[in-house]
Amino acid sequence: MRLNQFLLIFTPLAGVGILAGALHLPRIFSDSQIEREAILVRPDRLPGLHLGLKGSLAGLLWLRHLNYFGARVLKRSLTQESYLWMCENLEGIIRLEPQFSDPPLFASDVLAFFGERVTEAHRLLLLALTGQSLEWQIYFRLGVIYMKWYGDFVGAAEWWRFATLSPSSPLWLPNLVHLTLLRFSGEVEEGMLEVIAERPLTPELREEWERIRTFLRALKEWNSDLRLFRTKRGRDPEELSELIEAGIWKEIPLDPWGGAVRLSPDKKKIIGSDRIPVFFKERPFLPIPAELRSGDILKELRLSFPRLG
Amino acid sequence: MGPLLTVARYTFLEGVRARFFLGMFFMSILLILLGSLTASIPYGKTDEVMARIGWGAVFLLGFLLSTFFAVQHLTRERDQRVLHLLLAKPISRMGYALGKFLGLFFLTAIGIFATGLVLYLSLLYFGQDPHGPREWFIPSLVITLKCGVLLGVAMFASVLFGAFLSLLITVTVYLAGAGGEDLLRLALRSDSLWFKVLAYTLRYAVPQFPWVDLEGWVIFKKSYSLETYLYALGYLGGYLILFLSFYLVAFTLRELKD
Repeated sequence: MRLNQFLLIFTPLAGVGILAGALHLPRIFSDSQIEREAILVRPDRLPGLHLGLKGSLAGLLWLRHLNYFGARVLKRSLTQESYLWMCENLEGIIRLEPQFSDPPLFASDVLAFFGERVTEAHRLLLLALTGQSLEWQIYFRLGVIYMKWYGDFVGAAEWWRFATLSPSSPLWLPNLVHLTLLRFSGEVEEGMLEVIAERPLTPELREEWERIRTFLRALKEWNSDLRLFRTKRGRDPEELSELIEAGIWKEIPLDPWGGAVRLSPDKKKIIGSDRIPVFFKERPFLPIPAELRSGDILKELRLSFPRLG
Repeated sequence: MGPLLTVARYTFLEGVRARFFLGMFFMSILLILLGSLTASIPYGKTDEVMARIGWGAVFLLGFLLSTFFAVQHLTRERDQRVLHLLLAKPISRMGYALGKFLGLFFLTAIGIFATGLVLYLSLLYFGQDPHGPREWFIPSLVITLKCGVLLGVAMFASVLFGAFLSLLITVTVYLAGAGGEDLLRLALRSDSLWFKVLAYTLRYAVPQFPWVDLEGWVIFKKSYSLETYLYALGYLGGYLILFLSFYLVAFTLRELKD
């Protein structure tokens, strides 16, 4: 085969292949969301390594800046100028890897969790976020952050389920996981109620378990009221007040935690309130060092962490 | 066809003699060690991490080994005037160049498929999920094509430049291909017009490897239509032919100095 024959036959084919790929592949690539498989904070993955070159680089830079921040806070030498400098750099990191814009890593209850050293606190937190720590308390605390900051109770329970994998985790932790999932998802796996009933529970969890059993019984009645509404009116209600208007309820009932029940987003079932269970409010998790107990560090500096729009 | 295949065969044997496969063998050992280390981490999805890191290592090392060998081999042939003697034989320049490429391409392909097989067996042994042969074949094929593209770049550069510059150019094309999408994202957030122009130019001038991350699709169990696979293979095949064409033209037209 001569060169011009080769070029005449194969170069147009190459052009077609490249053009077809360039037209279709970028959309397929962005739709595949493979990079999102490596979400930093999902407990059922080993993230960080999946973020790729830029994500790993962003993670290293983030850690470096957190160490800087932590060291300054510890020495009480964090000035407004140095804080703003750090915030500008962190904005750059967030541009590099947008996932880093979310974690609330500058609130005192996060900084204070791991004890006396803020730099160590952030190092341990990042180890936990990347699934490399064996300390059950870290994953447990992550679950609390999810609960408190994101209102994601099911996510919190998943982090606690992760914590149960640690050999040193307490015996009550799986019970807490299942109770939380029951409480906030309202869905019961077959046989789960009997299993939990047989488990040894701490006194606080025993009270919480009784509340959940009451709640699950009441939930069945409320959802059958919903089905009655559907039969009467031939549609799903837009708001729970419509059940009062239909004469099914006298008032919107409260769940055992004192919050009014709600309609699920798809309007198909009734779910409980988003009140944090008493168990979580009253139980102290870990001691907070005195020096960091005096309110939010950001409030002390009268600054706010700049967030990208 | 006879002389072409003869050149290809001898190029392949040169690679075997140069202990190309020894490099792949050591990489296989590394992959097994990596697999056992990853499997010992108690949390997370072991299989996905092993596969991701493993195939990444196969690609990177396959690219470096094949490119380094190709550049060294070709520039040595030219500088030691061996090429002058070989082209006196009854074979056209085009046939000789194509034979060289085919020999090096098959050398790379066998190395990658073999190392990929070691990774696949590691996944079966150390991993926690079941894996089918598709998880060996598709990544091996795609990585071979990617290395083939870069081999074409390396061989084209070797015709025009010395060994060091050829390697530098090939590595630059690799980096531009691997990081083009990220570069574009950064450029879009930047105010600089020139940065945006550069990012778009690189995106379409150089093959974008993340677009054809078929090994990633296999690892994360994404299922796509045959049409999508054909686009990906056509895209890589197109760039392979393009850079091969550059190499053939350059080799055919370039004057050999005495």
